[in-house]
Amino acid sequence: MRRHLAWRLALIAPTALAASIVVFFALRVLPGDIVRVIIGDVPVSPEVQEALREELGLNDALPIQYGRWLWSMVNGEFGGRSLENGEPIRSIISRHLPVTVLLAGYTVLLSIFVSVPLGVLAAVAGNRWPDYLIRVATLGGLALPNLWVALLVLLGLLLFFRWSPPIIYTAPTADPWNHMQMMVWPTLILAWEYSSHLVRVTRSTMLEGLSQAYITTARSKGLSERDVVLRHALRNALIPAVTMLGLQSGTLLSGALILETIFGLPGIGRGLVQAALARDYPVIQSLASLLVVLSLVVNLGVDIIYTLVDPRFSRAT
Amino acid sequence: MRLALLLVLVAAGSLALSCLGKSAPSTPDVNSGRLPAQEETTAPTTQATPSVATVSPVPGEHRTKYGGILVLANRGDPAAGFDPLRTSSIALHHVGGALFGPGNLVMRCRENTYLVCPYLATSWLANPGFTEWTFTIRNGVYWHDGTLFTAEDAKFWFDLAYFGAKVGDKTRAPAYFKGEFGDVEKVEVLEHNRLRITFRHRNPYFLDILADPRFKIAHPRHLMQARIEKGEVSISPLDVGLVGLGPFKLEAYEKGSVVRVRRSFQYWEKDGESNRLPYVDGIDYVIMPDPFAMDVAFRTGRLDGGARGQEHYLTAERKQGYVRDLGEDVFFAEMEGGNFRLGFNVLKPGPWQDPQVRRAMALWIDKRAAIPSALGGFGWTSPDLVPPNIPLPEIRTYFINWPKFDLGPLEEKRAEARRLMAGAGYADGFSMGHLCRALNPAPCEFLKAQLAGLGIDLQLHVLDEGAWSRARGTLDYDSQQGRLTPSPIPEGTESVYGRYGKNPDAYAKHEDPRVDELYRRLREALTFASRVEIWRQIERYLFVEQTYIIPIAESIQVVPYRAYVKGLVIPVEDGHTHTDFATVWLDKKKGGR
Amino acid sequence: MKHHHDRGPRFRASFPRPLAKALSGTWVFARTKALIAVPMAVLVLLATVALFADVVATHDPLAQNVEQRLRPPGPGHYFGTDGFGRDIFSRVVHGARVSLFVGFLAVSMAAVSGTGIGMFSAYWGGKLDLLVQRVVDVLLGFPFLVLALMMVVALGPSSTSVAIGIALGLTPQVARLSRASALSIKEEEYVKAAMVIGASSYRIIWRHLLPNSGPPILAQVTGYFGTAVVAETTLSFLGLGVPPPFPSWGRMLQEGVRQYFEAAPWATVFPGLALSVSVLACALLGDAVRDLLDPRRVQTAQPRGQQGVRAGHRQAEL
Repeated sequence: MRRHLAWRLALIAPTALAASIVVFFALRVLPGDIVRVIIGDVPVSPEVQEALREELGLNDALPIQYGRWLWSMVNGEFGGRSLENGEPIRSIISRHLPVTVLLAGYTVLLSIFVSVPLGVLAAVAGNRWPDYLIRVATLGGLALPNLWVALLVLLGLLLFFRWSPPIIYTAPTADPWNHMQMMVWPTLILAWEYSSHLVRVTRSTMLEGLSQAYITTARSKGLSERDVVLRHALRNALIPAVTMLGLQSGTLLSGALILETIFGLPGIGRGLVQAALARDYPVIQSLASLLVVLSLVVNLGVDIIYTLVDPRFSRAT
Repeated sequence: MRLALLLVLVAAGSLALSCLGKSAPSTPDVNSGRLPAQEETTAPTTQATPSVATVSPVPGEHRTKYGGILVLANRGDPAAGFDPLRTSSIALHHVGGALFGPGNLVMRCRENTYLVCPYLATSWLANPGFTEWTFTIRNGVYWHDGTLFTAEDAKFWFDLAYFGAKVGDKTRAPAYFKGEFGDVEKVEVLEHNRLRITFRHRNPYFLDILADPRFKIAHPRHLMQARIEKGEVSISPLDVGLVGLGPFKLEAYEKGSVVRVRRSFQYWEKDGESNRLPYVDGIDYVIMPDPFAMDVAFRTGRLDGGARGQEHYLTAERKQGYVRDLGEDVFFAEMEGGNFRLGFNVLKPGPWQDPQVRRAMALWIDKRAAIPSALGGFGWTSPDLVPPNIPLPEIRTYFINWPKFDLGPLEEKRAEARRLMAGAGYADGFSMGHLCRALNPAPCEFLKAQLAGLGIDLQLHVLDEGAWSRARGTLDYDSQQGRLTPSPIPEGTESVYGRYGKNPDAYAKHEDPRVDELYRRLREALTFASRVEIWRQIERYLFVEQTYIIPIAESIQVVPYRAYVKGLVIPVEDGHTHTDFATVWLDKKKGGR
Repeated sequence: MKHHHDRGPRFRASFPRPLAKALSGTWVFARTKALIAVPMAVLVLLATVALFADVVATHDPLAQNVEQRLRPPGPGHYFGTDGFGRDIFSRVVHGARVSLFVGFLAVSMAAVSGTGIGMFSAYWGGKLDLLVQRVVDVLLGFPFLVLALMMVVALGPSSTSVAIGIALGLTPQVARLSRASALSIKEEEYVKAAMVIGASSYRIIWRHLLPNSGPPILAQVTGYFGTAVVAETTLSFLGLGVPPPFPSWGRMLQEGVRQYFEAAPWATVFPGLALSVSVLACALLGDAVRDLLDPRRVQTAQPRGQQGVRAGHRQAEL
């Protein structure tokens, strides 16, 4: 097992490199022109455009541009500067990343605390009303686009409470109250979707587990139902839940993409959308590569947790 | 239409001033903020009370105009490192009005934005041939870091804008608006803090062009020159910490969140009672890309003013919600701008190359229907109605004489359109491509539905921002919409109506030498009357005889402000880049926030 | 659905035998397997509406009439009209076509490519398998919407590029599952026997692995159909969904909320309802189909190392 983990660790760098090459060249095929985006809604002569393109280094050969970008990733500049506004990408990342990480972190924590008990409850209740209620709620979480939920939440707050969340983001250290008021809504909306996955997987593995032989054995040994559920079935159900945490990490970032825009959070999802629409190559590239690395790390983390939680690993491999 | 209006006003006012080379009245009277949209909510402002604090509208209550932070929504992060030489993006210019000031050497007058007033220059003089313009730079103007602004700084900015920079193998592109300045030969600093700009050709309208609010001085020589000479040619105002000349200086910029600017205590402008401007302590520009989020924040009292920008301007339905929630506590600034036009690419083969066919479409389209649907409820059809916000009522008389195309009943026009189509051999219609912007597809949907009635199948090519802005200047599309902001004097419209070879971004793609000829004659016109006369010829030729462009409607941009926001300069038209917050003050007690 | 319940038994007598048998069969099916029957009926209804949109719609979905703009639901316009005076009922009906097209295209592309990748990776194993798994790992954690967004930006907004973008996001998930289930089937005696008697790789994959891992993949893919429709809505929010003039539920929803939710709530409610109902139906059907199949089939097979174990749990959460 250690060998397996070592392998995965070693593979992160080449995978990230390969992904960065794909991202880089895929982006260069995109139609659209950063120069026109910079200039905006005004007529401008081709000579001026050409000079600007030269100035931004867009006329160099692609491998040279790639090399330049890769070097800057290594030396800590993370892709140099934004073409659109000249801001160092390092500072873009350092500002955007914490917001998204916090949002994702709150969501994951909330989801774990909510969904494991709910999943167990649903499984134990088996086809009675708590089960149905929970299943309907999770289906809602999966079926309703979180962007629509977000718009309705804002509208509801406006129409019924004449209130809206604050509009200027602050770090939790600077102004915790403001931070909380801004983060609570996107966290709730995102957690609804995220925990729906978790509840469903917990419920179904619990159900499956409760019908298995060793549970029956445990029951026949005279263990209380509570012990059966918590000691045996739940422990088994946690493993797929952990898997789910990792598998759905993409969901978190996809949700962040939209919720950050609506709730005015300067996070990485919003930065990526803006950069994509503006064809700001270096920013898209660096942020996308960052996400690749992040997802590799998350996967690795899940694997490690996995080996810790699942007793079968030590035996099976 | 707007051009016509400008032509008249510019000619009547500033042209007279500039032609004579006479110095304009010194400090503009900033207190007479009598603006159309504000009339209901603002009591008449005091004109000449010499006291320090102005008399409040409520009798017996004295109040100072100073203090408070204005919270405004901003459409996005300012682009291009806050560089006005690079972009006309409203996300920058909304903030730029505070940081860099409402003008450069000259500005649009606050009480009448069709006239030119002095700003960083106190006076100017042109030689009789209009090839040399000499400006006397104002004394006592400071950059935000305390450095004195001189003619040298002005020259640095002009050179950077017009010539760009070249250091070794690195070049800095000149400003995108370079062409609008005319043929600049050189820029020199003369004694007594004066600046002379020499042109190769006659340039009688230079002052009107220069007063365009897009041209903001944001490039401090003392911070930039040395770095450019070292090879940092693409340096932007953001790189040097946004040291400007405007009424507010930067306090903090948190990307994706907020731009905070605070009062600059060294700012030179004073109001009519010798009080220093600006009145408010600062402005927070909150970055809100989603218009719905902006609506909610405004209606729950988190914003004092809305954002400027195409998707953020209010529609009639959104405005209703504001009124319902806030009633008397909100007012709406209305600015004319954003014209909706259909332009043809006659350089690409197809039925639209036939002027008869283009004329048929012009007659067919129900222009009035565009306003509630495609333009969000605010606008007027062009060019057959007088814009609603004209500042001087007597100007309307000029418009009575203006050509009003195609005013007959729609049924008659449509019958004529069918005859023209049949005459051209297209009784059964045809298919035509149309370039569309994904951010704002409503006008495209409108056109498609309209032209379907004439048997024309409009194929929409919907592109996102990046792809759209590139496609606009190419010849790949059969037709597209005019959404550009032309220079506000008739001579400047060549950039959007002129020949493709000279103006790749023109609405219509044509290579008609007659249009060239007409614009040349316009520039050479010596009298106001002949200028008007030639402009009318151009209009008739472009819109009727050839119908290269079909003017459909002009939109009105509506921005909400809380009623306690006073003294705001609301330009009658093209408020997009015209942003001026020096004279704003907050009457909080009345607003009751 | 109610009609099904009522009509089944009543018409039995008067219809010819085979039809009556079919009807009574449907009736029994509907009663005993309501969880499958209801969502299935919704989807069948949706597909029918999409197929015969021209007949079902009462108006031209693109025809504008400014005098009739923002009319509330009523006899002339069942769902009211939007800001252009277009009939919302007709637009929702035609929107079903757009949404089904995007969803179907995306899901089938993802199913084909994902199954292909998973099968071959599982069959050949070794270095190739390892490599493929690493790539799949990366793509699994990569935000699904970002992939779709980039594809749409690259290809330009159209229903096809939206579908391709979504398919790209779904492929790794399908690949992972199909690999796991192929791995377990590979260990079955009859497959081993086929290998021993020298059946070609093509034959083994085509005859054994594919048909046997089909059902779980199908169950998973059904659930993703809703995901695809939701993704289109989200892209519409960014102005990158299915472009006009085609009416898509996503864009109708966005326009409705942003422009006139208070003035004309019906412009938001009806497309929103259509969207939610069909997404729910897909999710429920996916659930039910999964329940029908033996949930422990993959898990009871010998897990081959860590991937097999994980795959087993994946199977369980479907």
